[in-house]
Amino acid sequence: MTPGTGGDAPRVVEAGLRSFVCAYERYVEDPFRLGQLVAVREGPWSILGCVVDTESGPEDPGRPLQAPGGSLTAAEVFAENPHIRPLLRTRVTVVACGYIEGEGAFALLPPAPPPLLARVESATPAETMHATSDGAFLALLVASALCDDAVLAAVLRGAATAHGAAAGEFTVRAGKELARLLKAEPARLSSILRGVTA
Amino acid sequence: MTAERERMGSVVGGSLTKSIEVRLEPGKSAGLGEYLVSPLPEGGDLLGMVTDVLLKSAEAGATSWPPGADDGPLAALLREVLLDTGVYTAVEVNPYLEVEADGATARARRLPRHFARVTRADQEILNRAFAVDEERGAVRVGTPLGMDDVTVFVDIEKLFERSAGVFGKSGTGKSVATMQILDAMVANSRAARVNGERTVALIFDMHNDYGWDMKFQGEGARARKSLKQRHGSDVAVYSLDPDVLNTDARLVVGTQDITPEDLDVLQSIGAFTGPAIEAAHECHSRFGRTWIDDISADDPSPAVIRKTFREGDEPDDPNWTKVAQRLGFHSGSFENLRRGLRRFTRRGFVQSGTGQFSGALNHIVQTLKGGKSVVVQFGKFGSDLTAYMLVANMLSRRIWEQYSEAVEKAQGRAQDEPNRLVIVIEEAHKFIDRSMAGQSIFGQIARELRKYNVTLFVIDQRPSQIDAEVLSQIGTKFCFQLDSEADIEALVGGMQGRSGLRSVIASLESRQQALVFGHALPMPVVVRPPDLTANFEAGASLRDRLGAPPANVAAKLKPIFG
Amino acid sequence: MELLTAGLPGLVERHRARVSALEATLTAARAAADAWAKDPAEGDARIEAAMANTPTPYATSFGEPPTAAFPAPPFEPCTVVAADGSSIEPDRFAPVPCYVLNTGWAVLPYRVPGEAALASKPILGPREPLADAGEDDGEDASPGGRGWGVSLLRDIEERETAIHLARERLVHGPVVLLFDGTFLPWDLDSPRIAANVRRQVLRRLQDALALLATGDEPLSAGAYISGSRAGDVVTSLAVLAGQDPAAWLAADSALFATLLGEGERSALFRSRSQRQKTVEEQFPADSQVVFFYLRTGGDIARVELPQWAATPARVARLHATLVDQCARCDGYPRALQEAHEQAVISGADRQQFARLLETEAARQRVFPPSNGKQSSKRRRAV
Repeated sequence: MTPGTGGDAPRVVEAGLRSFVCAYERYVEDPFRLGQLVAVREGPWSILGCVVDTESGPEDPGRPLQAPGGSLTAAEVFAENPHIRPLLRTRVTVVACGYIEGEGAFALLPPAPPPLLARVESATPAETMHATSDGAFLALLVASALCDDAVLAAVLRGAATAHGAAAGEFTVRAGKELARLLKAEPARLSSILRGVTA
Repeated sequence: MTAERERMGSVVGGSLTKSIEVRLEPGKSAGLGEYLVSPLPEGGDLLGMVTDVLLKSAEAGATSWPPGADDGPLAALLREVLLDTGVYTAVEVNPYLEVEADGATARARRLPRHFARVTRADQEILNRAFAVDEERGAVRVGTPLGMDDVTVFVDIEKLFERSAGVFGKSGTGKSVATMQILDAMVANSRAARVNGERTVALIFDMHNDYGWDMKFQGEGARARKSLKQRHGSDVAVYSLDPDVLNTDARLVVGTQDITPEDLDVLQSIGAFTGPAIEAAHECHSRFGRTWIDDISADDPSPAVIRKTFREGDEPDDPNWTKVAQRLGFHSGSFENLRRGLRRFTRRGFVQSGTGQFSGALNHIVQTLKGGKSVVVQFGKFGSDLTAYMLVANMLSRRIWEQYSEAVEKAQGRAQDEPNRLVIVIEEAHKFIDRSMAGQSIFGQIARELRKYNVTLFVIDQRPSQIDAEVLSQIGTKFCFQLDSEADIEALVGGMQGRSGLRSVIASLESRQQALVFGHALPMPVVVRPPDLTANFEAGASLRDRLGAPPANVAAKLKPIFG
Repeated sequence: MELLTAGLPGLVERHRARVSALEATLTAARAAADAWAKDPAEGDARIEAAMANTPTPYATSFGEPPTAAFPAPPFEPCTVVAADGSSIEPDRFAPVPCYVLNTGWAVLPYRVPGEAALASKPILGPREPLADAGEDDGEDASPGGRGWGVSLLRDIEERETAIHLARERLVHGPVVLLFDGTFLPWDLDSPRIAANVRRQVLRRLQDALALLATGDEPLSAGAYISGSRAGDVVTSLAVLAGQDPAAWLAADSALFATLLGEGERSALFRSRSQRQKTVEEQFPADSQVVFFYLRTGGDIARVELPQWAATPARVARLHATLVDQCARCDGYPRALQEAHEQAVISGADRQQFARLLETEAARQRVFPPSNGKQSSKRRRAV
């Protein structure tokens, strides 16, 4: 099963033009993966974004999760303490990297943020290929303080998979775009590409 | 039409007087000598030649911390990714020619804008750039580098209206190129209506290349037909060597034909010392036409003694030392003169007395004036530089005198002026080196240029040894590979964009590649000269080349050399 | 310090006297209980006779020796369902009188199928005039909010919610249903609540309890009163010992603290009083309330349950589950704790609700009655 597609899709709970946060109804062990491209298809355009962070924890900050002693596995602890799971939430932070309106894909910020409570779903391979075809989508990601090298490497790896047989070609094309964007930061470029080839 | 040209990159900087920098697009490459085109802001195109290839970096980072040289996936990806992003290839292009949409061309005076598109020149624009008047003869100089479907022609009249030169170290293809040029010239002259319109050559053929056949080191037969075999009735061959076949006449030099002025030039190769030449002048004036026979004898003859000593003053035991003392020479210098002259007289082409030199000379002049070219072959004497220089100098001086006399006599009446003569000499630097230029007839010919309708065509491997003033008078230069920086500098010195040309010459391959530039060409061109096949055709009209172009094309081309 | 020192001997002396008096009372109470245990029927008869004309609650035995202590059976897999509620009471200074009920619940499956659920459901009231207004024979449910019986409504919401959730979960196995507080809401007979409200609530509660009591599914139910101050049992013991209940032990917990070990429950008792009787008469006979005490983690809790749920199996499941739940949550049932967490309306939420209400009222040009004191409380400027 594609990660993040099991059960109910997360919904947008904080919306911004550059980034948004979506939350699952509860804690999930297989949320969207780092660097995965996701889509919000509610509204006049589909907003595409890249998963830059995922965090799980108590919804109420006043009730921190206490670690039990003993040798139980996490699954066993959850089974023994069924009240814990409903108190936990998984939240995913997404950085917008483009949008699709009609037949056109734009590597630009969307004109408006995604609607609150809109469902966030995995981008289809076709959407991923469409949005990442020329590497321009990287500009928004590189410009985001939320996107570190590990995220960019994960994005490139994931998008390359969507490109199938043309993965190598895509990686070079995107890498070149990255090299242009990071021309003054060779160490960063190197670190990202190390993540891609790992 | 521009859209069809191969996109190469865009202009990113430069200078009209130096060069334009063009950043190449990913995957493109251009070599030295290739032509690129860029549109000019007010219309028309700028045509230039690649004179340098640069590996550059957009930021210092990419090269300060380069990817590893290993075959690991990261290093390989980084290298590929950084190409044409962090690092890129640029070329320097010397701007040469503006080519207008209507076909007119002019020397470059404008530059393209920043980021103007740069394309690889195609046949169409090079045809316009190098177009020659289809009514006049042209010589095919070769195919520009990397453009096998383009052939560059040079207008023969324009090539020889000033002196020209073929330069290159030994074995680079100088002789083949010379032969092709001369072949085209002879063929072109034959087509002239009257003799006076024919350009003729007087070729001092040191290595026996331009007579019946030429030794050939390429594939197939070891000899190729040369001028006499190809243009029998338009070429006369004289030989100093009685054993050479297929000649029209033998050339013998009589001792009485040689004047001290003829010996001047031999100083440069050490055949005579300066004082020895001075002694020669004194001997010539004192002993008359027989001076060489006189002083070559073992002992002074009574006539010599009589002419040397006042009556009653004769020594009892006259000898050459006393003669020298009496005449005020250092005996060593006099002996140097005598030894040198005796070496001459031992050569087969020098005979005591008058020989038939005057007759031969007159015949040669008449042959030239009759519209035929003359090849003077040296046969076995070819390796004797003294012989070569003596004969070339003797003949050239006398013919030059006759030509200048004829021109003076014609007083501007074109029909009375002699036809154009091109004197072809090899090892030219020996004749017109820095110390000798003032004394050499060749220096004079080069400087006085078209005044007497005589120009030089020099073939040389050491251009740096040639007097700079003479070299500067050489209008069109065919430059093959040269080893010495000094030789390269001597050829391009003073030219616009010379640093680029210098690097282009330095990059020429050792055979069959030449940079041709100067008077007869609108811009320099690196060419691969045509192969010397058994049935090569060096010359062709523009019409032949373009395959019957529309008449208006030729009309547009005419102003280029107007 | 000298003054303080002077008072110390008296202080200690008084404490010593109290402790020895308590000990004596407990000893007497245990003796009475023992006697009751020997003949429960006779004891019950004496107690009923003595309490017939007093409003004070008392207890009679319910088939188990009153001094018995039962250890907790092993905990068996089940779903624990609990509900709790909180409310925003009508504010007479608000621009529009209204209330909010927030019912929180917890559904926690232990080693049985089904998803855990923690949630809450807020209700804004009143939504519309009560259906049978006009037939009032008591105080009207006036627009001012008096007589709306918000806490009663909250209790009934809790019970309806929890009972529905519990029945849903029976498909996955045994269910233990827990409420906080008494099993039956005491306000059902409160004259301060409008009669029509009481009638409506009673009907809903009757329906809900009827639903809960349907069939013989493995369903246990109990209302958990932590730190109970009830004195039903000691009142009955006072009667048996011939003492005045008013001067006797204050609470049952003091007695059962000496009778019950950790995790043990007391015998079942039948809860009795005039008022209880009035309320219970509204419901089927098997809904009468019985109770036991439970010692968990230092607390003596009172657990009330309907009579029909007091079968040995249901009580055993309830007992085991409560002990397990309390062990999981520092001596208080985990499910009740989580339901409470869901139900709580925080101070920030209350303030936000007040602001939203004022904003909406202002938008519709409805302004609160002027009240100087209230205004000055809100205006803190000097």
